[in-house]
Amino acid sequence: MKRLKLNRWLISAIALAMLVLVFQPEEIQNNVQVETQVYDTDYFMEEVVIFQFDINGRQTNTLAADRMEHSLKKDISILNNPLITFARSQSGDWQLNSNQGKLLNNNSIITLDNNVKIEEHVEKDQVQTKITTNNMTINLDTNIAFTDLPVLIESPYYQTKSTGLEIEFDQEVIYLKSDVSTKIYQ
Amino acid sequence: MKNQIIMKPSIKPFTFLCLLVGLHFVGMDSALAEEGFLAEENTLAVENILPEKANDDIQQNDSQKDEVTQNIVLKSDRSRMDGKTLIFEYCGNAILTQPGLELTADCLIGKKNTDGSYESITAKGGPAFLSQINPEKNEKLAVRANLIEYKIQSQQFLIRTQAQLKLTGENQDSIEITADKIELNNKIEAARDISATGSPLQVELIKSGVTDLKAKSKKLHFNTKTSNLKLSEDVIANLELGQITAGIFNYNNETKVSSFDKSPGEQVKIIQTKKQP
Repeated sequence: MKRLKLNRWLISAIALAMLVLVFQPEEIQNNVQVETQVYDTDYFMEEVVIFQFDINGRQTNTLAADRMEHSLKKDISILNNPLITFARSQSGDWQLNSNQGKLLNNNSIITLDNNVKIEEHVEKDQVQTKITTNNMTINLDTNIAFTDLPVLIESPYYQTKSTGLEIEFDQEVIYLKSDVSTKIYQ
Repeated sequence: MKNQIIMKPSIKPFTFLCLLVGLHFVGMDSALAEEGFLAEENTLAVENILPEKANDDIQQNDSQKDEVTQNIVLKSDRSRMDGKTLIFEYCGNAILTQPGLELTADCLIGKKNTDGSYESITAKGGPAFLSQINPEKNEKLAVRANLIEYKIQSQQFLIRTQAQLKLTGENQDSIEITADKIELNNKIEAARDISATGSPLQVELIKSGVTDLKAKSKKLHFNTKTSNLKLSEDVIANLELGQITAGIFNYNNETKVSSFDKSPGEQVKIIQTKKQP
């Protein structure tokens, strides 16, 4: 009977140890999230809009976000619901948005993460082309956006899938890098 | 009775332990997955970017829908779309497919209309191939050229530079054309209209596997419904009757009736070779 009691305590001790192990990965996971989302924020802004102009004073793009947290030490800004707008040569514009974003490299590079959508607006609120992907990097100096991930392009007339994309917003040229497949609706 | 009481505490912790070990591994998997270490996660990420509507379109009703609507599918290694000129390029193992039709080339280049719809697609490269098969009629169209332009709305093909066309029907009946430029009106498959120009332009009509007519000229017109062939300018036609040199030559592949006219300043010549008995 004593031996049984001893076994019970032993098993309970092992169970307790396992309990600790069970919760350990979650703690690591939380640490990772903290690493990628918070950068010792020095200041934050809400309902922020940043306008960028070229040397001739022409407005080239606009960056808006619900919230922007900036770390001076790491030169990174974390953006919530960022929206970037590039003017088209004709009427309308290109609008890029996602759930999260990061502004890096002295505000010249922006990465969009999670549910990235790029919409080509011909007129106000009239979408002609919609591009969907999971990650996109935009160089705000050259106005070039690119991704190596799968991409879906939709329009009322066609649907295109590819892996990898580059958009030159000034030239209004889209490059699809590999495995391109387009369906033209008749 | 005693034994039963003794057994109970030893089983419960063991079961609990197994449960905990199981939970531990589940926890590890989900943690790894969230950090992107599991391959499955990447696959899911690829699929998840497609909106529900797109997934439905692509996976469920694709083949049936395409059969009905004659949707065009373009595939290539890479692509370039110019929003200013509205020109798009699909290059590297480029292929265009439509139910019963296949167009392959190094590059497929096209122009969109201002509203975003597609106007025409040109297959370029060495060489481009077009094939169209109608299994019901046992009919096959094969085209080879350096440039094939497909006008989508009018279902017209403009075939240029070292153009070769072969249309094979039932009983091995066929027409084969070699020319600089061939225009194929494909709107009504039963009544295809073929026009060709070139120097030299060569045509061969085969009936039941045997050559019926072999000719050279500078212009050609052929209709698959009427089987009427019209050749004009410097025509040299070889048929059972003999060799005919004329300005205009009309021939019906079904009735085998031919008529010919002289070109200005020249006579019609018929040369018959006496057959050996």
